[in-house]
Amino acid sequence: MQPNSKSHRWILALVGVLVFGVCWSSDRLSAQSTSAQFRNKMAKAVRAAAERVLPSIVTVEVIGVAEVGGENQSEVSQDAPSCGLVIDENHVLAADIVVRRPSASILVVLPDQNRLAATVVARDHHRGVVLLKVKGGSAAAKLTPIDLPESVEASIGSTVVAVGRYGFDASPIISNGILSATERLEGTMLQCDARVSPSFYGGALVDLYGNPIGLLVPAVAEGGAPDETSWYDSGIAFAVPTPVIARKLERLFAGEDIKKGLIGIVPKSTDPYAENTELAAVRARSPAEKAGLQPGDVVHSVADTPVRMFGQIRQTLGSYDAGETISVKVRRGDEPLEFSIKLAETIPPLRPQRLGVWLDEQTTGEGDGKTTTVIVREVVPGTAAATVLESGDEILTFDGADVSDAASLRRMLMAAVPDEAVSLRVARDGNEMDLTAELTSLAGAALDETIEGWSANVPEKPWTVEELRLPDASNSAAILAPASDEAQSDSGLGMLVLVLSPDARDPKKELDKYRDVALRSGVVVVAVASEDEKRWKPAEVDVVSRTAKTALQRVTVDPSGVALASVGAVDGVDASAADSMVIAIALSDRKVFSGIAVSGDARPPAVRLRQNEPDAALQILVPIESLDDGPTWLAPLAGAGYPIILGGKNTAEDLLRWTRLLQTM
Amino acid sequence: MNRRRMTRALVGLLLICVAAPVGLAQPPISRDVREVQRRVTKVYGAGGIRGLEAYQSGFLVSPEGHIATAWSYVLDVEPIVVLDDGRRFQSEIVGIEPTLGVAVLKIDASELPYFKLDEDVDVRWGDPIVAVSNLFSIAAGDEPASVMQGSVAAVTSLDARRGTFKTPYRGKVLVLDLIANNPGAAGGAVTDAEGNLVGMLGKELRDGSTGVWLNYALPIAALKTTIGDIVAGRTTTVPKQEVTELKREQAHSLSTLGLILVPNVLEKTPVYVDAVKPKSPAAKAQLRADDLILLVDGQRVADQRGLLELLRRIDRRDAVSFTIQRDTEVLPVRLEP
Repeated sequence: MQPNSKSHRWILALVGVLVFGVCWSSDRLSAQSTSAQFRNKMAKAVRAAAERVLPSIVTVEVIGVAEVGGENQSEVSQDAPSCGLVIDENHVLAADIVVRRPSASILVVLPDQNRLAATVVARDHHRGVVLLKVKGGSAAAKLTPIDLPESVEASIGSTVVAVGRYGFDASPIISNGILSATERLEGTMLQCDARVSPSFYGGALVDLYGNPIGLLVPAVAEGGAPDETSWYDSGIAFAVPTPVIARKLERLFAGEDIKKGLIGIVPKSTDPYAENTELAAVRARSPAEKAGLQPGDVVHSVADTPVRMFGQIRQTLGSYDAGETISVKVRRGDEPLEFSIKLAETIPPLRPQRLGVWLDEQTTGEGDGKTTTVIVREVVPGTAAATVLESGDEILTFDGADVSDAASLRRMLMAAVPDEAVSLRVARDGNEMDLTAELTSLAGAALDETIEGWSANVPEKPWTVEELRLPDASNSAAILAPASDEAQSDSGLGMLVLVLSPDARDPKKELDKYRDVALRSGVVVVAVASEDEKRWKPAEVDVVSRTAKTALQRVTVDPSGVALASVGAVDGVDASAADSMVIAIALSDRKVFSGIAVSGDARPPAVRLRQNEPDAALQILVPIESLDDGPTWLAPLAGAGYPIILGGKNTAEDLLRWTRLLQTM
Repeated sequence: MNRRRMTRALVGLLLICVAAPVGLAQPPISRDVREVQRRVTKVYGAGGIRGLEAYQSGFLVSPEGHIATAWSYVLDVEPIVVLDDGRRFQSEIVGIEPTLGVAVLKIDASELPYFKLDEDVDVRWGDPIVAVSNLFSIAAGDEPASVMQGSVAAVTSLDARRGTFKTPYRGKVLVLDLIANNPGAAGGAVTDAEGNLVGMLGKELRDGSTGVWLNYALPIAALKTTIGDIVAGRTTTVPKQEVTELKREQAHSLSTLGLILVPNVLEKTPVYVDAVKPKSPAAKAQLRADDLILLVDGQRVADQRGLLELLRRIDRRDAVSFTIQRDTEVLPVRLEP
């Protein structure tokens, strides 16, 4: 319960007078004792605040945690004790770190060492909170509940205290700091600079009045670290606002798990902070599609919040759960429309489709009069486009939606309904015509032919191998590319970044093997060696991504034609640590690579699997003949919307042909 | 709101109000800190190999140059001590106490500023502290050691048997709300807001239960007798030995208790009872299949290997107390041999 500000105002006034007296009398104290006095008084205030919630803070232990194989990304023990907040005589809120791994038992330990067995009532996956129920033990074991406030008024910069219990004697433990931000992590979390270590998770964040304003949970910013506990003690700590939990309690008590709400819209802009809220596509069978949103709609407000960029849409939607209904206002042409959309827990995974075109964008005019046209440069043999489209066709619409640039068409194809005929309006030799193309899924056998122009035009001058080095990393790397003084035309080169097995120490030597085939295939090859000769470390994910970006500055290649592979992606080459690394890199950095190629014998890394997204779609090539021959970890990847390309007896040449074709769609 | 909580809240309010006007003046941490710095020394010794720093910190405990510091590999050679005023001394190791992890050095000097160890200073969780050490060896030459401020996050008693800390020291520690235990900080001084010595920064250590790095200090109350004894030239009291493993035939085991557990096939198999032998201590205590053993003599049992290790420390003539979980009930049971 919070102090009611109205009824306490007179007390404050009285205290104020008192304080004035105290300060006046202490006026003549020396500076040094003033400082000590200040700090000691602050300590008492912090203790008083913590003591308001401590009776309701319990320890939560997990017993018999199943060891999960694979490299552990976290230094936090899988059975680390944490805290819980008692909210009624038999319910405790805890951080979902306690259910992260299956365990034989979850115990609530009271400050007097009484242990009570607990069961999980429901889990809020969206915020990382679980509701535990304890089976009433002995009468002596009494829980002291605390009310969650309906609203809190902590302002940024105000003092906050993280409160928990620690050690076998359940000693009170505190860390104090200030409130750093609210609405963090897509609108879901409070952020504070207290040093929150794993013992605090599930404990309370209180203001200086002792009001519980948040429940401490492990969390990191998206892409910030491999594990949610990685930022412990860093001064960047997160807590779920208690008023939000209070509003979710009814659902949790009913045993309903809560998930993040998904809508299914695909932005047209590649930059989430550009002032452009036009939709490139709407995901098949998503809430957005069911409500009637269409590609080309321009979003004006989400849940009554005006939005100007996609970043704002994400931030606003971020705090909503599956099952909640929000209103979305759009403009379709000149017509304003409003939709009521019920957010869903899942959207059917992507089934990316292929038309089979290599596109060119031509821009005419300037400023507001600027228009971009999308022209077919070449068609890929053996695809839908091969029979209906010709070089030089201008694509005007796809499935009824305007095609204003190549990136939007790619997103439409990523989100398209699988294996369906779609209508295309094209301009050919000055005439507009309507065509129908039978799209095919990207997943399945790799294409065995490439664009005629590519295989015919092989440059005569051999490419050179040069060293590539990041200023701050000791990994050695090299690039095989056209000599830098050669003028690079827009010939549509691809780029393959090879992650070497840890025992391969000389990237230049490795690239020598690719000299002929790279030139023939029109694919620049970059090789990166691990820092340590025995292993790839998780921290090197970033090194590989940045090496690729450095290489992209050196040669002109289509950014959508960059692949990441291990040497194990070639049939007959053994899998190594490099294969796991490739998967880890691709799942954590979604901006650079459009495809990855790995051995079927790769050991999957312990990284969280994310759904494939239309605006950063990824395909996976594996040298196997059919999915049935594939490793077990392919199924969850396919289920998350990643198209699996069957490379069969994949040679280095096949690998490079696939890489260059990534820029087609 | 009940009366007691209301009173507490009011006390809280009162204190904040008292503190706030003072806070506006932004007082310095403390001028006493300069006095603390003068008592802290830099200690340079062995190490320097990858991952091991060849330096740490210490503080003066007598005017004749006795220095308390952490006992570590840095002291594998007689270390060099640099005082706050920049003077360098070759030191001699007077004595060590491995259980506490403290050592006392002596340099040939006199009339030095020092911390008196005979005063009792009580610290509670939440209390402000100042930590002074040469962390990361930032202070070179005659530069004074680095000062950091923070508070005591928790005061917790460590039970020798529980292994919360992977160190021989068992007893009270001050967990600090301050990222203090960095390379080179070990042996540094922790004082209260007035500059009274309350603890010594410990070596870098991971918490045994959560696996993460700890920030902690050993309370001076736990160290002062030992340090005093070494300074006075008395042999230190032999630390109480940890309960070690007994001989196999003297200790309890699954068979002495009549316990049969589920097959131990996982790296960490939970301690589920599969069956009990008739007329065994387990049978008499009415243990049954599917009981999950949580604690043995008050200590948490993580897995089957942990249980066997704990049983090896208990004499087979003694009774064993289990805390078990049966369905949703948590029950104490006592197995009499």
